[in-house]
Amino acid sequence: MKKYQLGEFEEIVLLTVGVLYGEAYGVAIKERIEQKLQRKVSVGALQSALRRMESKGYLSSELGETTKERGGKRKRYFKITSLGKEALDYNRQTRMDLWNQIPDVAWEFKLC
Amino acid sequence: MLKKFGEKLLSFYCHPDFQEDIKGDLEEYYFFNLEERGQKYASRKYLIDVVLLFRLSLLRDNWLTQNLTNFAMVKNNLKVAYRSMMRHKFYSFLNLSGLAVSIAACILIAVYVKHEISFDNYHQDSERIYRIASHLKFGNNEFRFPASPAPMAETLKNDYPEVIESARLRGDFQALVERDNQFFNQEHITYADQDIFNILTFDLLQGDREHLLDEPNTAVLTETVARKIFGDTNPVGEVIRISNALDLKVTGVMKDIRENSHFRPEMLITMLNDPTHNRGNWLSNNHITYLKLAETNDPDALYDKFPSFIATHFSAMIKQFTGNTLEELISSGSLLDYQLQPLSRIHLYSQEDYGFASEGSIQYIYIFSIIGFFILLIACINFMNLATARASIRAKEVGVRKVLGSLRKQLIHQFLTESILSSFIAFALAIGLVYLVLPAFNNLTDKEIVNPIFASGGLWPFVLVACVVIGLAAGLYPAFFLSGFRPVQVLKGEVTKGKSGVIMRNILVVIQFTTSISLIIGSLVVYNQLSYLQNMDLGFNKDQIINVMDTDLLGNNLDAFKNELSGVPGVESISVSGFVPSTGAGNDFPILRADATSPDEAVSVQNWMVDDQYASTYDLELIAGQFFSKDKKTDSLSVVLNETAARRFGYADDPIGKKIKHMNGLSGDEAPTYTIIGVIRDFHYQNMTDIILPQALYLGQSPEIVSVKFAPAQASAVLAAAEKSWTGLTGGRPFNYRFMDDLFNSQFESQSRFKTIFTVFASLAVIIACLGLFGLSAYITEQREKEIGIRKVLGASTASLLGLLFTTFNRLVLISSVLAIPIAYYFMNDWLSDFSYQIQIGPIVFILGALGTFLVAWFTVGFQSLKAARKNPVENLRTE
Repeated sequence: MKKYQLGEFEEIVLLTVGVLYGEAYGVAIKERIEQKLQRKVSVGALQSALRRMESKGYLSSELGETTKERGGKRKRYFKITSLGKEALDYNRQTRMDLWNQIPDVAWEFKLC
Repeated sequence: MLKKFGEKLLSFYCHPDFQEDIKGDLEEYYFFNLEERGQKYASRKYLIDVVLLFRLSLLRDNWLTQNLTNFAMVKNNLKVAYRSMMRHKFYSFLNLSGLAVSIAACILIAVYVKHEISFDNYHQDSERIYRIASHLKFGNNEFRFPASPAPMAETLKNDYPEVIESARLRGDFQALVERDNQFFNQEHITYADQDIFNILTFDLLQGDREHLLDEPNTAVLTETVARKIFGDTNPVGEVIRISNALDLKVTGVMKDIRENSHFRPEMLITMLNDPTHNRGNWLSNNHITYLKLAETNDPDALYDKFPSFIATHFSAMIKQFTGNTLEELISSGSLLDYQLQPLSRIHLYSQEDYGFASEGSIQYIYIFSIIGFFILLIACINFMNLATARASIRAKEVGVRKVLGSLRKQLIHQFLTESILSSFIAFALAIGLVYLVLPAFNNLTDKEIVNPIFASGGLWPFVLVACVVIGLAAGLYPAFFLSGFRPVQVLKGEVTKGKSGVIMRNILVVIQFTTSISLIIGSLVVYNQLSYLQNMDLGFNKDQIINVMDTDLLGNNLDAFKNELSGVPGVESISVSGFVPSTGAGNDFPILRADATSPDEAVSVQNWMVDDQYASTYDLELIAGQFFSKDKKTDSLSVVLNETAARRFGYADDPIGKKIKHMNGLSGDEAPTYTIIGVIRDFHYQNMTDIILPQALYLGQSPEIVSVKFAPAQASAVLAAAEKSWTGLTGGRPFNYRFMDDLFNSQFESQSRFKTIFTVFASLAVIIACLGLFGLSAYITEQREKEIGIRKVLGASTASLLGLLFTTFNRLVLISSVLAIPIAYYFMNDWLSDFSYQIQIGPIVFILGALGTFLVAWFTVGFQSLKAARKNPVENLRTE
């Protein structure tokens, strides 16, 4: 059984939330991912990933102040929890382990 | 527009907690798009995003996420139920096995009842089909026949438009069938009108439904018979020979008549071959008439017209035959009543003599249903008693649960879950049990039932409902009782020692044992009555007699056959006759004293043709005069009466030499007069359950049956010799024989079956009741363990301790016996009243029934009590 369940897209969202520390709400996260990774992100995919990770405990969230923008709707700011960080660490660690185990020979590409 | 709709849609499905910020985000995108790409694109994009937001993790609470708490509670209840069941394996076993066995018994009874009430329902329009039954009375003679006069069927159809179809059947006889020099013994042959196919639903496999029996010399076979005679070849158009006399053309093949039919012919011969079918005799009732009424279907209205119908058609013949008019006959107390019996009620409700096949009885249906109910009741009581008796064990659990906040309702739920779980397990076991014993059950009831529960139209919906109902019924009282404990008292240790439950529990035990004892007494009475009938003085000898059937096939070789047989060592005497005792005869007609002038003096008499050896073969006892003799020429006009007949003619004192005459002797003198030469003691020539009616024996050739009396232990030798002789003389026709005692015993089939079923269920009831008693006594003894220990230390003997433990149960069983005896007496007297010859219910059966129950109860209780009483007191007192 996998200890931390974290998909590829979820990992990106989680990292981006970290990057945008303090300013991580839906629109900002989406913009940042689209900008950095050059890929389209649908609102549905992003929102469901956020809520899913929140229910898993990787993210916490709170509503911000009411502003005149956005039709008076408040923003929801996300923050990485310690469990979220553990999951990210775990993911990075397993990848690094795998990297380190690749023998050098494997990198010697020959024409054959 | 689109944006508004999108917002609505999102509000509809999205979880309210998420709505605000997601809507805010969408708003932001919207304004961004509005500036960049214009209003149209922005609102379209908004809607698309809303649709794409339809994700499981964003949805409102739904049935997937809701109700989780409730489900958990049910799961918990089930778990607790399972645990408490496993913790007390012994009690659970008593409960479940008792319930399972009783439910299996009930299901089997339900299967039986369902099958019995399904009789003849399969006929199309069965609710509009009727059979005519006659209730006739003249003088002191009263008859109930399922038969009516031959012309009745057609005349009714012609006279009354509401009768849309009518047809007749006659007879249910056995004959030898011949085809290509092969011989087959065929039973259940019946004459039938072509129109019977328009009334009853016979599934035709081959032949033209409109032209099956409308010509003389035609026959319709059932599938089985067709295969027996013709193998795989096509029987239609072929010719078969019946009784070496009549050639019949097979015109059709029908499916075997279903098992749930009140009569099951295997071969139908056209009525046109019945010599009496169109003689127009209104005074002889030989034909079974079936009617189909029009849609209006008002049998009572038709029945009201019967008196005028009888006046129109019967009068002339009555006048001619008896010399009196119909009115005179009726005013002198005679009765000519023809009734309409609904087809589906024939099997269970008809009371006529000489009906087709064996008929069921609605009385048995009631009796078995009641027994089934009580068996179930006993098992439910076990459940209740064991549950309340163990209350003190569960009292602490209830107390703790209540302290932790359980509501009474929740506790009731928990206990009900327990009982329903038990009931489900018991039902599963019971269904397995039913299928396991089904072959034995079919054997016992002489039925062919397969898969009664899960087949389409099976019992499974009832079983399912019953399962829940029984679970609730058995669990309701314990649930309320247990959940009513007050936590403070319970936890302080003031355990209700089941005191409040004691009275209720005792009442329930009394109900159980009253039922059990009644059933035991009932089965004892049934057993006694049956062995009384079977061992009653018959007035004739039934042992060591072989009946060779169909001897009319011998023709002129009959004497040769007799001669050959009489030479066989071991053969004591040989008699040729038309009837043998205990077959149920059907040859009665009215006879008068020679000096009688009015038909009211007529006596209905069974008239049998016998030969001079009949009395010696069957050991009939002559009271006065003598039997026929071979040498006396005058014997052809002589008659031998039985005692009853002599009494009814008023010749009881000095019968010999007196004369009797046939009915038509009233209007003319051409009717023969017979002189009484002897009187025999009454013998049971009919079914043992019937009273002995007047009977007359005549000397005459009626060569259907040869009765051979043989010396003890010679059966096989005589049989072999008879068969050899038969084969030689008939050219290989099948040799058909019966032993007289088998024939005699076969008439008790339905009663023996009743006896077996009754005994089985009575035993079950007692066993289940004792299972409960066993559990109860185990519990009570356990509770009094310390008391027993102390008493023993202080010097009580094992015997006195046993007495102490027995008292309660003795009192209960005693009360039950006192209650059960009058109940059993009442019901069994009712049952016995149907028998002409019945036992007196003596005190012995009651004493036996009660004593038997006492013994079983002592044995049950004694096992536990003895164990407790013999235990070393140290062990009893050391606990804790």
